[in-house]
Amino acid sequence: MASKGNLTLKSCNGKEFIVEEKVAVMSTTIKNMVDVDDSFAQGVIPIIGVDGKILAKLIEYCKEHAEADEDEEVKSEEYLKKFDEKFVDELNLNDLYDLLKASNYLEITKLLNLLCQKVASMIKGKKPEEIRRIFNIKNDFTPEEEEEINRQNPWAF
Amino acid sequence: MEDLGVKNQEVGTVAEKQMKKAEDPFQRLPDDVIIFHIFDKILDAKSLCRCSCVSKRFSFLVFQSHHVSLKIPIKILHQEPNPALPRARSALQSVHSFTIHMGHFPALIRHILLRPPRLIGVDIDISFLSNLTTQFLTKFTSTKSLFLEFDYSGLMTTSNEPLVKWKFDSKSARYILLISPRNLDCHNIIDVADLVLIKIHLDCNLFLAYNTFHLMEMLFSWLPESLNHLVITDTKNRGELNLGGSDLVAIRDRHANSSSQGRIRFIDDPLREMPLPNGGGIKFDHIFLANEWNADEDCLRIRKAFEGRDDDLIEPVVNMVREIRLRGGF
Repeated sequence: MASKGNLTLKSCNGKEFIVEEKVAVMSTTIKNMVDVDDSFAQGVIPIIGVDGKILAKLIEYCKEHAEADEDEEVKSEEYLKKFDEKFVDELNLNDLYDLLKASNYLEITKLLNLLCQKVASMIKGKKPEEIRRIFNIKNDFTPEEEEEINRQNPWAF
Repeated sequence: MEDLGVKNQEVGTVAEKQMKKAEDPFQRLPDDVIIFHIFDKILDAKSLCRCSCVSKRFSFLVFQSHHVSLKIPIKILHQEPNPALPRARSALQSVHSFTIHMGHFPALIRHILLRPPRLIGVDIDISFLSNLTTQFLTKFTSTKSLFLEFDYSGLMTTSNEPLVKWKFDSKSARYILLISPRNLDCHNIIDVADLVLIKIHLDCNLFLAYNTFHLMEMLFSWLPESLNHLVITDTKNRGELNLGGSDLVAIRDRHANSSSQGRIRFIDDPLREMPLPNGGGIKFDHIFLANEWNADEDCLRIRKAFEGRDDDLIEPVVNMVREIRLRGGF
């Protein structure tokens, strides 16, 4: 049981994390749950569809940012920027998307923006075949359709 | 890579994990996250266009983006050089120094502009541009903001070209083109060939300005209802257009009720109805040649040029000249 001021988050594969409330409520979804129903604040909050590994990552991010929000002296904007950079750079593609999906579900806006910015920068400037290769996207156009698309957009290549 | 510390509680086998890794990760994300969080951060139209070629889902989602930024390259199609005018041709590629004595300018410009502009050895690929606007941009049916930049960076590398400023006055719905010959050096005009160079230089600027306006006309004829912010600028910093919601509504209404014929036309007498190389029906509404006046004279000169026939343009032109002078442009 979490002590006062702490919340217990439980991943979909049963791993429990005890975190400070200020860290957990970086997620708007969790904040709404706690605000509406006091029993969540006492008991265990199940985080549906998010496994232990991803939840640990989410908590790592929220912890840094919650602490920075509280004390700008200790964790400057510059520090946070560096932390963010390192945070996304160390993610593999699989985790990046799991985190993205989880941060969307949990409404952690800052993190969602950070991760989407990363994906956008991976797409920007790349050719369609490169994008398909990086993200394992299946080309579901017929050869005729593809030819028509290329004919319509010669300026983009 | 796997977090072994929680392996007993992890659901899914290694094989399943690998399969998950090999699938398209975008399948895990709902449409709105892809459109509004990822595609809307890309902005660059070229990248968005390439996205539309990736897969059917991408193609469906990408055109729902809210924010698009497009750099429009003004490309010149090089044609066979005209052997009759070798100097003129080479000048276009490497003009870097002319000096015109300012006192000579009005007479000179009259002389050279009285002859219709003909771009020797060059042509601008208009069909490419109209394709871009009509075929591609029109697919973004829910765009909210559009940022366009005419990219002239591939043209005319000289630092001494005449100062050209363009403006679309949204109140009077007219285009103004301002040319200052200040930087056009022509100390040593010895023969007709030099005059030809100057003329080409001016022709190029007129031509590019014409195309800027022409493209703006094309854009105005397509403005999605959703659009509430439009910025048009160019790489040479010749002008900027920044329109909000109410301006755009007015432009949309006007374009629904009138054709573009006659909205752009020359008005300064010697320049009136100057035929343009592609023979299009669109002509400049205003071209204004600014000379080396002092600031006090500006108002008088502008008033004299516009009064009685285009009173509504006096104010925007005066502002334009004042702005340029403030920045030390003349």
